[in-house]
Amino acid sequence: MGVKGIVARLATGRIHVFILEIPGHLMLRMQVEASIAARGWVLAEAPADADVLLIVGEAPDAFIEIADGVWNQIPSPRHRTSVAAVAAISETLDAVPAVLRDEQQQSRDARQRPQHVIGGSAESEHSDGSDSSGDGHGDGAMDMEGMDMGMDMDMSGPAGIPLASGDESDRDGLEMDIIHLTLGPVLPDWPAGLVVHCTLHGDVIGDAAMEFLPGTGTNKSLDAIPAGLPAGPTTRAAMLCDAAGYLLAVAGWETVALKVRRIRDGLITGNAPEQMAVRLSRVYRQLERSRTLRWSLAGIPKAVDIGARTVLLGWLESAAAHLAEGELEPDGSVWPASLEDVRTALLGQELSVARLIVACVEPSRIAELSGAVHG
Amino acid sequence: MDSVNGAVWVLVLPFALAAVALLAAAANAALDGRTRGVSTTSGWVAPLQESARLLRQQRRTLPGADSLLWRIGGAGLVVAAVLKVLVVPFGGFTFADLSVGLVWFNAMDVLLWALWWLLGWGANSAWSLVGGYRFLAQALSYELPLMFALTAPAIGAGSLRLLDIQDAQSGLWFVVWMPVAFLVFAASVVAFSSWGPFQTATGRDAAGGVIGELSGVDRLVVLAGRYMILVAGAAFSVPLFFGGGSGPWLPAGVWVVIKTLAVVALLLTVRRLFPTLRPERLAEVALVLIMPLVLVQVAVAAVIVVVNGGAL
Repeated sequence: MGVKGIVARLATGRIHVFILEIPGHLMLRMQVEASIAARGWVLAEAPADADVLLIVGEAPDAFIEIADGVWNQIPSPRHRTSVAAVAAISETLDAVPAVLRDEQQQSRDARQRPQHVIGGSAESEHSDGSDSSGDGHGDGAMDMEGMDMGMDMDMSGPAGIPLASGDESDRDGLEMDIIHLTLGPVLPDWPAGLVVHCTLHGDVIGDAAMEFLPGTGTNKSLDAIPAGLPAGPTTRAAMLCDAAGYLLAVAGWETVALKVRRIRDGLITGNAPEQMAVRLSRVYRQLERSRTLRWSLAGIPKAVDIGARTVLLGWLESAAAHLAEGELEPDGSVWPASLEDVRTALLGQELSVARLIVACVEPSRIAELSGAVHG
Repeated sequence: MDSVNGAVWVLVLPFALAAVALLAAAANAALDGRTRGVSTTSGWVAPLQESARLLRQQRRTLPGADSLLWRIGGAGLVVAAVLKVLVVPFGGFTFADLSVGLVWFNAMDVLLWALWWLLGWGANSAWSLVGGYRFLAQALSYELPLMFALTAPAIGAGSLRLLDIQDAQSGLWFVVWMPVAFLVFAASVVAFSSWGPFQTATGRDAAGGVIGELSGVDRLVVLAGRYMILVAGAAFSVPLFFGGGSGPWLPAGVWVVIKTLAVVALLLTVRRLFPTLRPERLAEVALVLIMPLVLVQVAVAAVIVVVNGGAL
């Protein structure tokens, strides 16, 4: 093996996987993430950072288009694959390094690529709002008012991309700082299928429209538990840890997020639940004690009667209660009752706050919330 | 003779700095690996694996990207880090014995404002731009306290020259009677590296922010540059607060490296103990609380120097 081979082997030791989760496959996604972590691989933060595009679940047409957009943005060497069942995870992942090392195939793929990446960034390839919402489903809480999404913009900017605009509704009166950004459905630590079309003034959300892209799976995630896995309270605890991991990652405490995810992985793979309970209570104490976290998260305006820290600690507490076979149901706080509630909370917020607000909603509830609009 | 020696060493400097940065990144990855439950060895090799991976990876660009400014922003980080270390004395030896070494450091760290912003701007991507905004918001919070914190050692030594500052600590290290200045300096080092608790500009919640659209060697240069800035900042704290190369038995240059590594270890620990501080929350504390504290620190240092007739 020459130098090239050594470099290739080294390079494929720590593969970055970009996960596209189809709504309704929460359990499967958690299993996939656990397998990725067990291999020492990492979750990519953006398409540019990815080696592998992994579609988790069976993708409906809308998601195929989104996956194509992401795929175009992943630098070579790259690999696109999907997994639809827990049993197939390890086989699928095992095949990845060999594909990334296969130089002939990779250079063939690289030659066929379009000369320019289509779409400006992780989300803009579907920001014209025509792919997913146009085909008659999934426009849950869609509010097209004020969403011009490129219809009436001039194309005079660089590479035909319209320049940022400005108008009277701009809160800070600055010219040319209105940009359109679509959050989701491909964003790290973001609930599957949720799309928020934002009109930004600088980095403050002036207007937003929510959309939920339904997947193929049953949205009752608990049904998706494959046989032979711990069901019931343990699974519920794992889901809560998963949500807490999201919130911690968005809040930017990576080391503790890793700890919580490790607990989650332990719970779903069924390794030593007692040990996980001990770890959980340790993490809980660390989070509860941290004044910095309290201070940093307290800054979120309580437009809604909710604090990110309370939510986070509540999730972990209730996860611990589930593990102890106790019954501790959340204190009945009803926020959010629908996606519209989330939308209202987002208006006027800076992007990082907006992400925290979304992370305060348990990912498994998103589908149910979008249903609340119709019903 | 000395200049020939210096010329050789100056060629070694960027590689030595990169090596220490690699060590810091490896230690950080090893600690993270332990938290994730993967073996410590795989943590230590992680930066090497990442480097190999990025070297093999395709570079990319985006429609309408301002490639020139984007690449300048990326490569500039490494350059700024090396330029920072140029004025750090290793015992009696220094690459550039500037009479205004302290101001030179400050100039380099202001350069980082531009570099991080260009990275965010050049990509022509909304998330990168948001990352750029975030860095500037954060920079407004740390820069003023940092500038005042830097004046404390200068007052203590009565000079802006780093050799003088280092020599003024033969009695007592400045960190002992300027703890606030050191803490602010250390926090600022983390902040201008956009790392640890001050990583919002490159945060995962913004899909990578300013580095979100980079791939291949461009990304490698930025990630390496980030750790090099961190190490350069740590190295600079040694002559400012830890008596430079003073220490028993070993040569002064070795002591500088050892003390630098100790400060890096401190920073790695801090990263694990604190969550990210969001820029808008930071501004309040930095300007209302930290600024007065730093000014009091500078005043105390000034009074001590006047009463004592020099450094303690």
